[in-house]
Amino acid sequence: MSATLIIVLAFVVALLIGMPVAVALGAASIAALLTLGLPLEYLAQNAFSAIDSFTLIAIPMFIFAGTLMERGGLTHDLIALSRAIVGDRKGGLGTVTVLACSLFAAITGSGPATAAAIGSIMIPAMIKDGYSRSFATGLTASAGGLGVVIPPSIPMIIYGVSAEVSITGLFVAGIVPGIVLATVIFGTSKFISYRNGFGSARIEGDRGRHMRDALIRARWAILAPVVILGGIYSGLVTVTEASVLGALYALFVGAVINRRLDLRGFYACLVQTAKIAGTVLIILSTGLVFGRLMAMHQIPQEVAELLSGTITSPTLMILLIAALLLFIGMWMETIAQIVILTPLLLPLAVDAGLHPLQFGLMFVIACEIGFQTPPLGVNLFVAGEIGNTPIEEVSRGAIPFVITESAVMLLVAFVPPLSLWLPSVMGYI
Amino acid sequence: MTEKPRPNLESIFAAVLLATLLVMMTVQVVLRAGFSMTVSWLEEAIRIVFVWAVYASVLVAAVDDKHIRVAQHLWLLPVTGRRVVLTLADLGWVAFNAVLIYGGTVYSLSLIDFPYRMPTTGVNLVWVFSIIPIAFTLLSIRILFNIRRRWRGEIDMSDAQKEM
Repeated sequence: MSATLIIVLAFVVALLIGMPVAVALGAASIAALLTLGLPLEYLAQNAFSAIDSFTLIAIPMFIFAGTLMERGGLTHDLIALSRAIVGDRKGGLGTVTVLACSLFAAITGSGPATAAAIGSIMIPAMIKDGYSRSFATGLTASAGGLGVVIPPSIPMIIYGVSAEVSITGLFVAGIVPGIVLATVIFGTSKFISYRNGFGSARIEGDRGRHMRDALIRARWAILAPVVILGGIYSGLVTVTEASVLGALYALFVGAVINRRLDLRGFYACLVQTAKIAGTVLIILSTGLVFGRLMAMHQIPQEVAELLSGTITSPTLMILLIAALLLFIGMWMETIAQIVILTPLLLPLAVDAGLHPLQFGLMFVIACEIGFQTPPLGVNLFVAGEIGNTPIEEVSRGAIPFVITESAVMLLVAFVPPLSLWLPSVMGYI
Repeated sequence: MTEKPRPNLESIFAAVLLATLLVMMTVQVVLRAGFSMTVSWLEEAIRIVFVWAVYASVLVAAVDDKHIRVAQHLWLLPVTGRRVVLTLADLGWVAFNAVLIYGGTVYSLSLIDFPYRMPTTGVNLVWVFSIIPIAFTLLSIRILFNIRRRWRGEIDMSDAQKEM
């Protein structure tokens, strides 16, 4: 039996019997170490060195900022604002959901967190207003995924670490595709709402005054992306430093301005952050070493040779990569997917003419779609739980969005300026 | 998203470390962005606290069995079958931890014999690195507890595939 086969088997069997993803990666790493004849201490040393990185501090800090915003009441303000702007049009609550998710996405870097934060308010509101359950939950599962495409983004940080490309560059590259994706989700939602006659919540009184009031109330929430992203884009602070500023800002607004955050709430947010960050970072601690061991086994080269021998057209290669990303995204958890697939697919993508930043964006959009494709789509579970809707029904509601979002992914793959124009203007390429 | 935390040592430990990290990072950002100063001992201290905070967080996530698994297909099994398979998976997890504990201990001992000191603070790396064998030992204990809790029906098995 070849070494590659043993490694793959170890991984698949470990996953199938329900071991945590991080442990399955570890089991595969042990198999790789044994077949290479390397000492097992290597694993422990790498579990340490993978985490010993200044960049990764941004991950718990962005998560912390998100939990603080949520508890500090900033989500409510964002939704109220979106409602005042677009709530009274046809399919208005759908549009509110997309807009609120986009705004929240510019503060947080997680898809499921966005779906949970906005969905917990918008799904019940939509159902109450006569939207179908499957649409309300499917839309939220989809729009929530914007959390990872619109910067800041935890998957972008992990891709940046795995591919060794500038994370700030990725954050800049994500702006235009993020806006395009949000627009496409909005368009899809609007189209479905028209066809099904989903109504709109009437807003009494003067619309202009409503908007002004909501904007004034939401001013602190609106300023949060300015603090976080403005700091990064202006070059004043690094991504890690910006994540700290985001957490401090959320803490300040929640505790001092809104007075909703007390010591007990602060502690609860810390524990919540630990719980989420722990599940993400343990995957890095075994996943990065797995990537390194695959490289030692020359597995990426094998895959590349196998594929580039049979496929010579770059267009076909890009399509194949896109299909692979979408298919694997159905089955695998985001972080593990990035850690495992980046070393395998990045060389192929570069050979086919994609820039590493462009491929990163394509990958992140694939993760976004992966959140809402069964059987393993985290946002489906989040939305289903909030809307008390079975997964099948949520998935059905998400299908139109999966189709239009896949089109955006291909657009990013075949139209380089979409992701590369802004970084090149700002001097990141 | 935020729920009432169950009181346990892991959570307190992780919360203290994360809060410390926030304070240290704040000082670091203010010094660098505000006064263009970098304090290298602070950076080393941040590295130590961060690695410890991460592994403390890993322990917190294990308290209620929140680590991400792909487990929906196990729902095809009857409850007992599911418990048996997940118990096997968890025992495999403990075995995996044993490899890390062994490797981590061997490396820690070698660091005591042949110290690797951090450049500015002169702290022996063993103080940072030893979190690996310690954390994975504590993690294993928690997993064994959770196996018992699962058989008693105290863990919601449907939760296993969630990620945030």
